[in-house]
Amino acid sequence: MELCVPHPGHFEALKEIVKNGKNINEIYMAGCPDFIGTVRRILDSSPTIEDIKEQTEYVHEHGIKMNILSNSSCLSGQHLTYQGNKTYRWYLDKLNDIGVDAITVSDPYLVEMISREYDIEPVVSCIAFVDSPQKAEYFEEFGATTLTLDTNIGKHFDLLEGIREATSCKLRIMVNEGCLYRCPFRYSHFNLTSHFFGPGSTLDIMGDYYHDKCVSMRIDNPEHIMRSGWVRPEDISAYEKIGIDLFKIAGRIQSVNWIINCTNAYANRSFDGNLMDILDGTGTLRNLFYVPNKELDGAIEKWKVCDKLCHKCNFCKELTNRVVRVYSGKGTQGEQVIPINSLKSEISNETA
Amino acid sequence: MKLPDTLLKNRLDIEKGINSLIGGGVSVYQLMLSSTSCGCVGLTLFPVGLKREDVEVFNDMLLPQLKEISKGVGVFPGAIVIQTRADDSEIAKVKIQRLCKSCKIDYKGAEGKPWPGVYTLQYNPTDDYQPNDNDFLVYRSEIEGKIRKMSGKLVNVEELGVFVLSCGCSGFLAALSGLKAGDITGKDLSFFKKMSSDLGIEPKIMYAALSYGTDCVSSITSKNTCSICKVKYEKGVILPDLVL
Repeated sequence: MELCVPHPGHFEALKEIVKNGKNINEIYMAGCPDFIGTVRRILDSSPTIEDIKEQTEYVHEHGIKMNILSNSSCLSGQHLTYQGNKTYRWYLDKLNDIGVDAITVSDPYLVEMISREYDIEPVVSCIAFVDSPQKAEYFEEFGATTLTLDTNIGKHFDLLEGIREATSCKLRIMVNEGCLYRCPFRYSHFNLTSHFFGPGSTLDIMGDYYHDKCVSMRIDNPEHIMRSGWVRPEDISAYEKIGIDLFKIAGRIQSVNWIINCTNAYANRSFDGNLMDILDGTGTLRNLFYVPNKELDGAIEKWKVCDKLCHKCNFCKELTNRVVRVYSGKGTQGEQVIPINSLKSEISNETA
Repeated sequence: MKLPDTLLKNRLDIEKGINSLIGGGVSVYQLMLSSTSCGCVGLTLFPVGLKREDVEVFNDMLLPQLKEISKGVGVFPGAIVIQTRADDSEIAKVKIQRLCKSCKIDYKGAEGKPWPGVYTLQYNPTDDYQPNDNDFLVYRSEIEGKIRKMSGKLVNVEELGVFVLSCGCSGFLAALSGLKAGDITGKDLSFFKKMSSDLGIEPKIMYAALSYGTDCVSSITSKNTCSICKVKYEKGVILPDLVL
């Protein structure tokens, strides 16, 4: 199994990840937000060209590839302006000279440009939302050789198999994103963060509506956690069997040790603990819900044939009610995890 | 001395201590003693004008003061951490924490830089959990349980704490998720007021903040306002989202 592993951006982190992480085929990190942004927060010390050069050399010494993210969902049309295009080319020239192996992009224009003009592999980002054989074919025509599939289809085996048949591109899936299935905020949120963390950002927002709504919805209906497109470490082999080539770990704004532990859980194909602890995008929900990963053994067999008509099926809802627990008194001597149904029933009786 | 008075004194002492070391220009506009839902307990300073370089240079003199203050309010200083603002060396927070199991692992990594912009100045966690008089973990758990029972919702109290501000206000705050405005409007929140009073904060005003654009409650606060802020609330210069 080959893993594509996140890197927060500072060299100290990279050294520890390379030293302690298993099965790492590729490291990915944000590029310089002054040129092309990404959709995630760049925590202080945004990497400079020099940083990228130094770190690329380092990973190459360890037989690992370097992938630079430039996957804003909105480029503000800069790529189609004279000045913007010149800036992009200058930046891509630099990355080419440095010897980065791949650039992850979401805009088809950049896929074409990189594939035609550079010795760098254009990797299509999950933010291009490749969720069908047809879309996979389009991107292959544009010159892509690797596709990161839309996280919404992580449990759609029919679509995954269809895409595998339709394209000769390498396929990678993001295994541990904990976002809402068919999230209504996804495009808007990515556009917000693209502008927020992109070149020349001056946004001073009053709050992250999308994030706060998402958290609230998952607390109101915890089955959303179960429906999400994540893949358990134990279930990786089911994806290898249908021809998925590479598994991408999400989490470059997590701590270095979190990244290492998560990477190794997937490398070991086993994790005995709270699934929330290895999912990205769950934030403080991991201090509310305890999802015993081992108790989800076998659920993949249902998901393999699932038609995603949740309102009729209720499998994920029933699974949630059966296995998910809620923390009470976390961190105290009286800490316990209570079955979600028991707690709901207890507190609703009190309210009544 | 009541906890808010202790914290007000601590805030002033720290501010003076820092300014005497670096020659002035720093304000510690907030000091908060809190626990979080992961299981950490700590003191957090919110400074303005303090640079990472300042702390690095005066580390040896500053850290003992922070540890002393931390122990004085019952927090074992297992880690002292600074967090800078994005792309800047200006410090946004200084945290002195007794770390939970999970954060012990998080804060250990990458040569004292567990995340970019986060610098662990000291890492000396203890394995012993010893409840004490200011056990905010127990308070957090109690408040969470009571809000769950009041609302019938799976509420997560992400942080519970007592804070003091440089203006002289003090307050009791629960930052949370899982609660809607309709879940608390008109409800009996006497348990919150009581804990606030027990911790020495007279709840002169109590309000909820809503996440922007939503009806999701992001925090509940009871505040003992200073004379200036009292007028601001009365005149509507400060308008809380939901007065309780």
